[in-house]
Amino acid sequence: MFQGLIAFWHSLGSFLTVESIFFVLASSLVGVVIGALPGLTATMGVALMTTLTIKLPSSQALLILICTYVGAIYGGSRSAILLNIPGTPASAASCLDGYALARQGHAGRAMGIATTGSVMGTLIGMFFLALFTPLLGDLALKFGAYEFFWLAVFGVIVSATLTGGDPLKGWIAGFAGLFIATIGQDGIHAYERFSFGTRDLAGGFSLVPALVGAFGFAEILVAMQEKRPPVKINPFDTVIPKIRDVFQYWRTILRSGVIGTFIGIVPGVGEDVAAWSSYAAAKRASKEKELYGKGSIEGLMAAETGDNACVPGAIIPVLTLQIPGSAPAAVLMAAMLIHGVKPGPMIMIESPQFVYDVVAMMLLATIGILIYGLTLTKFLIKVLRVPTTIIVPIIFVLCVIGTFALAGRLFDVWTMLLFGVLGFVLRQFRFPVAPLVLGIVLGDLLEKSFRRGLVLSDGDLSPFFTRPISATLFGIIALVILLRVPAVNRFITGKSR
Amino acid sequence: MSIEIDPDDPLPPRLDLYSALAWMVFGGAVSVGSWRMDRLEHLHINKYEIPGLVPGLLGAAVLVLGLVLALRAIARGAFGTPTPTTQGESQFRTMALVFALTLIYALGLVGTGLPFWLATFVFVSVYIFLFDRERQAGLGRSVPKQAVLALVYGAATSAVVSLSFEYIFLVRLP
Repeated sequence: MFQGLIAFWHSLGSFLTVESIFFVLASSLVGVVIGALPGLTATMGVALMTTLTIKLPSSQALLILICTYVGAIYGGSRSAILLNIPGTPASAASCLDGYALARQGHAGRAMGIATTGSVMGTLIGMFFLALFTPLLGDLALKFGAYEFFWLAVFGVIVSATLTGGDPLKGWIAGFAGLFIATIGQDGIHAYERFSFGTRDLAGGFSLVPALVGAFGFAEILVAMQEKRPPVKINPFDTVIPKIRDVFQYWRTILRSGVIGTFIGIVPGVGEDVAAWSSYAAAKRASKEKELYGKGSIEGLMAAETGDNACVPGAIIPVLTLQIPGSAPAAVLMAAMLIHGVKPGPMIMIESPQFVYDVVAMMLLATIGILIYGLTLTKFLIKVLRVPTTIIVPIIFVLCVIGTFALAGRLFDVWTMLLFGVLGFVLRQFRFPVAPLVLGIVLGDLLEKSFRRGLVLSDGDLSPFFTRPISATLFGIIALVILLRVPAVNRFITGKSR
Repeated sequence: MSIEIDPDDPLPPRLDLYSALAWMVFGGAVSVGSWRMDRLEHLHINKYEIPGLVPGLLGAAVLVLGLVLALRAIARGAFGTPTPTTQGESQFRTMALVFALTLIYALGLVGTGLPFWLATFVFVSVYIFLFDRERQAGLGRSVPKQAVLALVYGAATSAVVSLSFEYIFLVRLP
């Protein structure tokens, strides 16, 4: 316990330099602006910033990415409250009560509640990040090839099931993503697969250009498709949060923080599910249920606490299992690998200080959003008035030059375009993109674990089903799938047609 | 996770059937390609290390799931409903133009000898001039004024992006 605290103070001290503080303030601002602008998401923001920070030392680059991530998830609440348009999907739940409060002339108070909830949520998540990462790291040391295989399958299946929409389509997208990860030289014998003699493709698709395409280019295409109505802002009062709100709703804050963090830990689920789950739990337990959807302070607090608590939660499996808890966390993981940081079960043995570095980065990001939450309202309203038609070409230029900057090769730009078009077409047919991306991230782990497991057992499949952790993971996966089969679901839940 | 689908806006079963067929073809092609892949027998490798094993299984999974989607679409009346038109003509034209401009910029202008700053200036100016016209007209601005504004946006974006990437992020521009 005390060792952890000492390590945390040491990490925090290492970031208290003029350069780091400048990066915290700048990247939190970028994150808040990206999050506030409808159509630009946290994933796009983190992916673009990954390309911009490629030449920086790893600690500074990751500090910038974490501040952008936290800032973007928080920033989404601004447009949710002022425009009734969630800046990021994570803020959709905040529209319900945030906009209702704004229409009653309490937009400032709503923004103050959002700031309080986001700050408290990040702090609760940060506490669990520091507490659980070493524990989960110890547990992860017991994982072998069989467990990692099921964990990769689990990530894709659960992500497809819980991110909304049609799970069957999500599973298809997820398995397609797993396949895409196998393109190029295989990890054991360097045999080229599905590269069709192309030298660039022999190395496979790079992860960051694919993510920039799927979440950057595809999203700006969607933004161009959906015409945004002219911005009409309600008048607002003071944005300074009231201490009374924190004390009055401390149970809601704590509950939402815990729910948000734990949903973050589940691979591939993410902030929007965390916000909705926290909101639903708060409503169930509330004494003022009738206010929900009509301007409930408690409802807004729950949604904002839940989505921001999910951010540190989503980083816990990245650090301990090398499996992302959300889409922005997947980009963050790719950035860690690019910068030579190796997350995974060995992290608490090889580089325990890094875990506390991430906790310190999270605290600095929280300070960043608190500062901007209290000061930036008028500036953000100006940003919200910038039309999509002007933002889109600028973001696209950044997507192109950003992906080129990664390795100085045009193939990465082509990869970005390919995945952008693919992501856009998939969305038109209502296929979720998140499981596809998670599949690409987890494909290598799945393949290596599966082949290694089979070699170890000489082709015997039973260890995949009989080892305790493997069997548990397999059981959960089977249950998640079976519950989506209508007949089985009716049988298990006992509901008639 | 990120911007996803709107569950309140279901897709007609006919379109689900089309996408299911595309996935079945894709999954089938991957499975066949994996089956025909070299098994590296001359290297005497363990049979569970053959390179096509995992892609083949994943291709088969996509094929089976595509088949389930197709059967579900048929059960929901894919053959009974007419092919839906999802977009208006003007929206289709807009999207076609967006695709054309972005692809011309990324594939035709960048990295083909034209300086990056010039390619970016041309792309951003043309894009804003074409797509911001409705809003500009609503503000009462004449066409020449709209063109000048688009050129200003293009020049500013090109200068800021080119200079910052070259001198701050130390990137060799394409």
